[in-house]
Amino acid sequence: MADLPILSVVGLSAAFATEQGIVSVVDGVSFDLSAGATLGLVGESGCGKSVTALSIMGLLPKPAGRVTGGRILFKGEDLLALSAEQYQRIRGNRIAMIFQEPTTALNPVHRIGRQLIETLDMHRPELSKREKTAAAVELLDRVGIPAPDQRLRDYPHQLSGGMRQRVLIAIALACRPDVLIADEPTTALDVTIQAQILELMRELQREYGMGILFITHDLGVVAELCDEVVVMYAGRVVERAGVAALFANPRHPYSEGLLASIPRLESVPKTRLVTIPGMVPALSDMPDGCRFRNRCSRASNRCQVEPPLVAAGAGRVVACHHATGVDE
Amino acid sequence: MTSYFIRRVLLIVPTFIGVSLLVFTLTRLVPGGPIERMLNEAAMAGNEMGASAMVGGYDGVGGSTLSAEQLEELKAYYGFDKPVLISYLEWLGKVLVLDLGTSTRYGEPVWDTIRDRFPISIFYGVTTLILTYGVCIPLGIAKAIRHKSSFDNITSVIVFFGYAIPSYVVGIAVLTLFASEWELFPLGGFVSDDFEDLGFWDQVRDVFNHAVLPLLAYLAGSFAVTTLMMKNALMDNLAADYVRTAVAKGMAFKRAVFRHALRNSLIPIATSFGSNISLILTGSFLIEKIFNIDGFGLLGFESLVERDYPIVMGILVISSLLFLIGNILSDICVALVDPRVRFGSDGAAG
Ligand SMILES: Nc1ncnc2c1ncn2[C@@H]1O[C@H](COP(=O)(O)OP(=O)(O)OP(=O)(O)O)[C@@H](O)[C@H]1O
Ligand SMILES: [Mg+2]
Repeated sequence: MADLPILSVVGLSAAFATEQGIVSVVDGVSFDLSAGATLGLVGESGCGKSVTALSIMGLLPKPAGRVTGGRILFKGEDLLALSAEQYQRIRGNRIAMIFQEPTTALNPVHRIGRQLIETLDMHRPELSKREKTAAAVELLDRVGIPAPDQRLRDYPHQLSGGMRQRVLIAIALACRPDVLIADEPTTALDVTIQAQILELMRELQREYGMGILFITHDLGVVAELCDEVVVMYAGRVVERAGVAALFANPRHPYSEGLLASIPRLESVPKTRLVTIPGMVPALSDMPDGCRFRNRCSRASNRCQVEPPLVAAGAGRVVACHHATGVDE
Repeated sequence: MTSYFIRRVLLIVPTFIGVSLLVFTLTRLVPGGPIERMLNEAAMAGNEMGASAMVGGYDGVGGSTLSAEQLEELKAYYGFDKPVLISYLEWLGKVLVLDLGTSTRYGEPVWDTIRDRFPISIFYGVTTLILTYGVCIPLGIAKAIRHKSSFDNITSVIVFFGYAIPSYVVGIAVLTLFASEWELFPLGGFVSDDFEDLGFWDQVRDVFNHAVLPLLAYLAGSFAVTTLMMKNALMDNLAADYVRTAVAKGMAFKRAVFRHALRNSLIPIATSFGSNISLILTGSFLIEKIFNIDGFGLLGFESLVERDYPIVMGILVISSLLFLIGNILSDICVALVDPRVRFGSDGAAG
């Protein structure tokens, strides 16, 4: 099972039409997600994580955003070749997504129950009304919402942020999807609630066996939850590795910088946090070659040529001419 | 929520008293009131008859046309002999038993005069309201979905064109073209002279024929605001996260528009609904004048010019009550559309 990925993204590129012309925001991203595994997608704000996720869901804002290349294989079938109706049958059913802002992701004027049952209306039309309601109660109960049968009649504003995110998880899991894409699902929540939601996702994964694509800035969360990590920088994958391997030995200077910028217990208190110098350049004036080179301490002339993603040990790849631990 | 609305209804009383007292006092202060008019007219009449006593023209109050006694009688008749507050209270007392007084111009009860205009004004008001919402809401939706398409741009031009031209100009233009030049529609009036003799369907057709041109004038400018409000509200909601959630569930975008975004977009429309209701009865005196329609607009305007204060006050009673009730209706509409709105003590404040 583990050898055949449930979701396989191959050379995905996406672009937006802006006033400055077409801007490529995701450039040749590839990764595989196995059933039952969790893949972390990390990188600075604006590096294209959400755009990658929305491309998989077929939800790029139209008409500005567009997938410009690559393939997205779900169980071996290319999603990009599907018709709108075929895509709808997969969305919310086989591949589901939860978003960052639980406050705005629910419709304020519809009851929780209606919003939850709606998913079943679309993908499980064979169920009777009573069966759908029963399923909804069970789902709310499963995601840890107390008195679920009463909550069905609540409006979103009557629930706390954490509860709303649980409702959104219930909506996403209503059809027991094969893939769950979670785009920073805990960023808007406070730390204790965040821990509860992560624990819930872990439990549900064990129970339902879905593959999770987990997008986050937070490497701490990655360490806790993920099996494998994809590090993105300015629309490109710079390193892909198992979690343990990456944390023990980051090979790309950018991954190294990211890891170094996590505050640690053993570091001296009240000293400056380590940061990566400089800013991500605007997509319109990206340096050619390696996009990280203007912030990189190891940069050399060779970096003017784009470094290919090369194997760098068991199950890991890195795109750097000066990667540590790779044979020259 | 109920207690909120009871409070709102009770608040009508002081608001109404404030508004009517203000206008009532103004009628006392503004020159050219009914007494002065009478004196004027009497003086003019005297002049025209060439009476010798009036050499040197009208010489003000106490002139020979009316004796001081007659003047006092007149003042008493109109209640001008008492302080403002006292006669206001008398007026209010009569209003409470639905007596709006007698028109100084027609000598008929105010209520009868106003009642005659009701069907006409309500017909135009309700038709305008229904057509405005009936056009603006679907048009706004279509424009939002096809944002920046040629359909969107062309309808914007048309809607703003109508908005930019004063309605009386539209009225005169359509009247000249379609009634005078091509004689497709009658020149004016609410119904034909032989209306009573027509069969039911001919009566309907008759009212409709008379209504087409004035309605065009009424409606031409009324689409812009509500259409744009609808379009912008829907555009905002189309970009909202919950619409994305709905599409991520597997819902077709079109369906998400109607099932999710639409109701949220109706909230601002519902807010403005109440003030539009009170417009029903006000009408436009210019359009009524052009098309010779005896509606509220014309009545109000003429009574003001003629200083027919009982009618002015009568119209004020009706329009201010309608406005206050309209505002409460707005609140009810908003509360119906938006579950977050919970007035008063029961439930968290929205
Ligand atoms: N609708 C849009 N129109 C134009 N450009 C866009 C649009 N949405 C995103 N972008 C651009 O695409 C790039 C990637 O955005 P994306 O939202 O994927 O970043 P992200 O990695 O998810 O960041 P964050 O961590 O802040 O969520 C950004 O540079 C952004 O400016
Ligand atoms: Mg994002």
